Amino acid sequence: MGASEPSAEATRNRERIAPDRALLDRVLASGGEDLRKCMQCATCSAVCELADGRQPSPRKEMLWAQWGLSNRLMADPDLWLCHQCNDCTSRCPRGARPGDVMAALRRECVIHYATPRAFGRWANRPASLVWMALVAALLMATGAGLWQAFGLAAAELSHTGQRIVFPFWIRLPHGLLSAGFALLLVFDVTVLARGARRFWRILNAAGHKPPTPQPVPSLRAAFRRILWHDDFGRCTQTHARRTHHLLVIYGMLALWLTSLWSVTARWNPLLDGLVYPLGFWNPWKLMANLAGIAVTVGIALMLAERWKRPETAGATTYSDVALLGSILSIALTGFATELLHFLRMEPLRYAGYFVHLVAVVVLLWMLPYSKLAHIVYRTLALIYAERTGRGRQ
Amino acid sequence: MAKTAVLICQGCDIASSLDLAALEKVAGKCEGVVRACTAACLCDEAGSKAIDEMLTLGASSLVIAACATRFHTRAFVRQGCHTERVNLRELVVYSHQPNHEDTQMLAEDMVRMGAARATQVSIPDPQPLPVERTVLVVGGGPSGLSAALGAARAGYQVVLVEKQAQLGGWLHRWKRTLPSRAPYRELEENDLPRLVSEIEEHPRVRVHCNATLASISGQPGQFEVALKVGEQTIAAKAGAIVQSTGWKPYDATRLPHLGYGRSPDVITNVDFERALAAGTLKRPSDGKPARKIAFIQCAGSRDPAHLAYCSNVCCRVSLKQALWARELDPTCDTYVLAKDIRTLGLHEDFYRRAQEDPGIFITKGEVTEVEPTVSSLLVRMAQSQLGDNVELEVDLVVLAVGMVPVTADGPAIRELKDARKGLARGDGNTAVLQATIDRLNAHEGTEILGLTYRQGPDLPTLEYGFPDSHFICFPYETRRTGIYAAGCARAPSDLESCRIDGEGAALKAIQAIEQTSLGLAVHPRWGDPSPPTFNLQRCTQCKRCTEECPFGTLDEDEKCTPKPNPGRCRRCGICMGACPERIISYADYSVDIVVRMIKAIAVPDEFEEKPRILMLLCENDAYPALELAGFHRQRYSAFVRAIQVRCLGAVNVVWLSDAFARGFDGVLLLGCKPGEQTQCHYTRGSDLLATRSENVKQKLKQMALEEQRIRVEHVALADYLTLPGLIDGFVKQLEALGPNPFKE
Amino acid sequence: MSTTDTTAPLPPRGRLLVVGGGIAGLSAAIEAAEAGCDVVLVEKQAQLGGRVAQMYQYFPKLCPPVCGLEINLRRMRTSPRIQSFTLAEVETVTGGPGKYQVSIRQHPRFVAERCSGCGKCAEVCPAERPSAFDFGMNGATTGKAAYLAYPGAWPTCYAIDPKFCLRTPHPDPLPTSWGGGEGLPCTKCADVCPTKAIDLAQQARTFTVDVQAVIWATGWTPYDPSRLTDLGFGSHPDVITNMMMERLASPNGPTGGRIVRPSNDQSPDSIAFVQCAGSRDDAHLAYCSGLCCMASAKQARYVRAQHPSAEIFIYYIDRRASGRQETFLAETERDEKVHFVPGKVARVSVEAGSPVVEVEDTSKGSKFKQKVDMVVLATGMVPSQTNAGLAADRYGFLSREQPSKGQLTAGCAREPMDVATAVRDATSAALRALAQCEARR
Repeated sequence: MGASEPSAEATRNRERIAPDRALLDRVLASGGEDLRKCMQCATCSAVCELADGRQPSPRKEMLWAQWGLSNRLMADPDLWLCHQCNDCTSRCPRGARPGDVMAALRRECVIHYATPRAFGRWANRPASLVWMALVAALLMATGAGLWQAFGLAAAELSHTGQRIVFPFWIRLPHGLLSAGFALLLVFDVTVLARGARRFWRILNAAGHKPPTPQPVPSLRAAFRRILWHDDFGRCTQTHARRTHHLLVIYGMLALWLTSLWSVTARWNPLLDGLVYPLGFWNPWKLMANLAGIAVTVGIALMLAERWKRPETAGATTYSDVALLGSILSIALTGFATELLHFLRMEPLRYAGYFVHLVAVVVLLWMLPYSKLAHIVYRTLALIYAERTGRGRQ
Repeated sequence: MAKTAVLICQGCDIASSLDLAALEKVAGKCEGVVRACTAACLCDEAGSKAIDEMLTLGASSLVIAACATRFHTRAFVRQGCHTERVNLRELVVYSHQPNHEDTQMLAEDMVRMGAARATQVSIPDPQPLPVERTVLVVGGGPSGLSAALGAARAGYQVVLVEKQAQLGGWLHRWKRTLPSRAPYRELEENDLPRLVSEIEEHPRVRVHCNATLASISGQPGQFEVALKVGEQTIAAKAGAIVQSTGWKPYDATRLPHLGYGRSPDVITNVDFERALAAGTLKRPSDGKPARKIAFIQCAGSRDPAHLAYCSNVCCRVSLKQALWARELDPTCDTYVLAKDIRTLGLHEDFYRRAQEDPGIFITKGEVTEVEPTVSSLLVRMAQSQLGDNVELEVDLVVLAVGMVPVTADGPAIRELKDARKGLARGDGNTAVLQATIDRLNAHEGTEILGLTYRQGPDLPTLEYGFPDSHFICFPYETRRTGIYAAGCARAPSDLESCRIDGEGAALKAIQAIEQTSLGLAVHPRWGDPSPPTFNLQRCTQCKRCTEECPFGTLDEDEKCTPKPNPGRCRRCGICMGACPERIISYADYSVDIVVRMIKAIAVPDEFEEKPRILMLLCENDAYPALELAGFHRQRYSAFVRAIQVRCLGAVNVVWLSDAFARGFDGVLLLGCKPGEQTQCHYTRGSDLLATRSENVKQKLKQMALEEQRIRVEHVALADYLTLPGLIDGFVKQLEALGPNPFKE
Repeated sequence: MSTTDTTAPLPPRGRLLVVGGGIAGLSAAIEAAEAGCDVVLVEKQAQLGGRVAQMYQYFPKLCPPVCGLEINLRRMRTSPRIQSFTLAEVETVTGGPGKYQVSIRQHPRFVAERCSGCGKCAEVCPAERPSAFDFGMNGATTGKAAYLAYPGAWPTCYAIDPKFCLRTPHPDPLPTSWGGGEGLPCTKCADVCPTKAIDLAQQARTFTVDVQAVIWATGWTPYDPSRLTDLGFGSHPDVITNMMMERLASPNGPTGGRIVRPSNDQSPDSIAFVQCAGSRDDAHLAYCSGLCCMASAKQARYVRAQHPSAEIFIYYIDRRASGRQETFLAETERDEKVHFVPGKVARVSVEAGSPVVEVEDTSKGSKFKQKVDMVVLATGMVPSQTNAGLAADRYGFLSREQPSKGQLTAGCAREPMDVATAVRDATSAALRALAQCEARR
């Protein structure tokens, strides 16, 4: 200790530490309640297989979270490079559960970059899910009602020209649906894009610039990592998680393609003479069914894992349940509808279809605010990591 | 001269390695020996009978030539009779070639030495002293209180002296204290009132508040104490003393870089403790509530420029104060900025407790400065976990300052006074005296005990002013017999350690009283019955004894004649070693006895080419080391002759010159490590010898002898395996030098 | 050395039992005796001295523990007031403050007191006995069924371990390597003993003593390193514990004091000290033992003294020194070859025949692997178990205040502490015992 005058340069580079109690309290309140127990022994960083040699995590994130240093946390790619394998949690001598803290911080990050942020915060409250479902249902019902009231229903023909007769209460004309979902997608893309842009800028502002920026190879590398889930593979605690996650994301991808195909089919010049709904042996149908099974199984396994081994799977918070739940319900209602169709239980089938659609709407609506947003942020973090060589030490 | 009987044991390879018949003859020839015989085994029934027979022959002194004293220690001891152990087993047969002429010579010399000593010693009769079974406790803080209560409960009178108006010391100001027992989580209510009432109600405790010590004279068992209570002086008697004068906080004004004195909102942990007790969390500057409070740990501690040591409690105290502050105002934030979090042992659980509170932010790093601004304080840190160059804006800064012992350095005060006297009288080098005065001026008027000892009015201190023991295994080994330091005066301690320490010191005080009452010494020569006697007619007032005694035993009259105080004496013999006139001796240990032992050694003439080396070994480490070496069959030269001394400081140079005059080829002095980390139980025996042997080397020069013929080595008990090599090395060196020309 | 019996009687104080012959127990017994109590000292090992007898040096003085031990034993040997029983354990304590009846079971030693410690029995003894004193490292001095726990041990009276002896009745059947079954008729030691001190038929005996107070100073055991597999113990011979290091460095240890790699007997060029190995850890010992930091600093110092070129790395969470020990720590930190690194070692793996520690240096915020020649695990203290129904905390440390006032506790059985603290603690316990006796007068 000496009372020596700090140099002007020192003064310039000095950082003011401003603890954000609100952030700390939120983390403590939602999954990170053991954060306080951390004594900075750094066991977590040392055991983490993904941590980078020059900026190891999650020890520093634990300290920053304890001190509520949101600026640092929100600019921290390591939050997203963590794949929550909980090697750290299982080895923490104090039971501070760094894995759960990181998860809580990621949620805070999603909310931080969401627009409008307030809605993001609201969307992450348990009650919100119900409201969103109701709103979605209401919108579709009224939309369909108006559509019919203005007699547009008559114009609703299958592309073969043969008239399809719907009972009034479940008129869900494809045009309307397509339009609605198109709007939702535009919304998702804009919101996520905004968040992504801000995150990316802050990452680059905070982190060191890559020696030689090579966007293309780093992109390629990042996507290869995502494609095969290499990072999951490096976790020592649970290897099964990799399979589960692969099942779900590729299942979802397949379902997404099918939907895209079938929505665009009617204007597709290459296609001719197909009748809605598709036959069971139609390759698209087959793929969709298989994908559906994959998703269902994947989610089921994830839930089982969380239920069976909470110590390695990490604490299960609302946002986990919400995401897994909504995906699962989409898959299940999808199957239900299909089944009812084959059983020719028409009215029920429409009801199931309606619920299915509501679930889809909710999922898409939540996307930028939910855990699902990691699609974007983790991808960005991985690209950033590849560009800056993070995680290679 | 005592009638002496010599018994030689045949057991443990002794008979098979030596010519015992010859040995018996040698023993028989010794002056003063009435009977010498061998026994099959001295440590069994028959042996015991043999010993008793000897006593019936009227022997008042026994020589047991068998194994080391560590074995059968009490078996050969008879009431009213001196027992001299000659260590034939370890020092002769186990460590030398059996049935060899040199081994036999060694054995014979050892028996002669034993006999010489046995015939010379007189049975010491301990002088029981009338003692005051009262413990004087100086300082009424936690350690003082527990010392007083402990001694009283053990049946002793207690005089408790407190300079404040009430008992308790700092505890009197504290409201809540650190957790002292499992689960070490919650703050405890201060239990001082209970303790004080117990003290005040105890029939054996007399309390004097507003009291200080005018003077303490006398010796253990018989201290005459003069108390200054307000204006009048009260006389009291005490048998032993516990000094528990406590601590004061480190002077924070010496920490301007941490903002103290530069802003009223920078306070010490002591100030904050008071604020918390008052239940207010306000900024001294503007009375606004303190919402953000920073605790700066090691404020001046672990810092050679201030306090180099760690005060043990500051980390826990800050955690306590943070918890307490959060309790008073749940909305406030507290920051604990530490070098390390030191919650040792089971107190780790208290650290956990503090961590549970989300309003307590903890990080590690170096606080470089605190800068007061208009409305707040900026705390700056370097090499912190939060960053190399960060700052924190807070309303209030609490400096966790350390503990400074409230003690005085007796010898330093004495030196200062002497220098002043000298300057006044104008004798001695003025410049030197002035330098001394300047160096020691800080000690002016720091007296606490006011001992009338020649070596100063207070306990000697170790570094940083702690009058602690320099031993790890003997934390109460004091350098002023009968006076024991306890609590924060001895070392920075928490409440529980203070209480324990107080009780410990009280027990040592009790031992000192009881031993003195029997005229026996305390640790380390526990139970030694014979105090030194001074033949003052021949004293030249050279003051060596009074200055060199490590325990301030000897006072002086105006003519500087030593005035012994047997109760203070620890029987180390350093005075005896120091005295050039050889007027100091013990009943069973004297310059003359050792001289005769040396004379008892047969020195072959130079043509026999059998050098003789005298070994003087400290009884605490070096001699047991030699025994252990023998016990483990370590071989070494049979030309060395070992004599046990109480301390190298107790070596009188006349022994060395005698030895050389008699034709010894060398002298090897083996004692404990001197210097900073001294392992000498008489603190400076080895250092004293170093200076003395320099003089001897001068003498050697005059006798035209090489000074390499004297070697001083420092040996610990653990060195028993390397000791033989050391001895042989010295013997080789001497053989190279050639024989001592003074041989007949 | 001369002795003269002049211990005149003090006022009778009463009688006291001390359980445990380690530094705390010894000190308590001696201090109480020197204050006039009669003391019965009970030690379950064959020799007195306890843990400190295993140590090479004390911090911060770097002095050998045997010196203090020797003086204490001398005080004990010369005191007529202390009766000590080795290989003995307390079975039951009945009664209350001021009048306890304690029943003590003394296990057979098979060697009578008149043993001269000549060691011939060990020379001829055919039964190997892994030396617990040297933690199973190839101890030359102590490796037989007829053993003296350590050189200079007191009492200097050999003992025969029935677990391994080929003659004495076995609690467990013999290892098959020795033919198994009920034991072979081996009497080699008895045949060779010059003092005829060996009695292989000796039986355990139980006796009771009446005392006014009991001081429990049962001490500690090192935390079981076999539970620290993450830290490489058992996976590489060069990963040892701090207590094993003490034995390695001790002149009377398995290597005669040469600090070498157990794997190849070569002197190490680099040593990593892993602080809090199983301490401050919910999965192991939740508490801090309070002295491992200083112990490692001390060991760093004596390793440097013996191997001036060796690099030392000490990986810690907090550097915990207390009081003036801080200056010793600071001095050690000034040594340019001793590197204190903030960060707990999370894993010790083996690469190319050498241990490798994995750790984050939290001061630099960088994570790395460090290959070293030796790893020393700074393991903590576990309180020894006593089945006397005493009040203890959740870790098994005995409470200072016991429900039965005459039951006192001292030393590391009460709290992890260093030697000086333990001796002070024992001295205060002795005073409390004295007060108990006084109260009964």
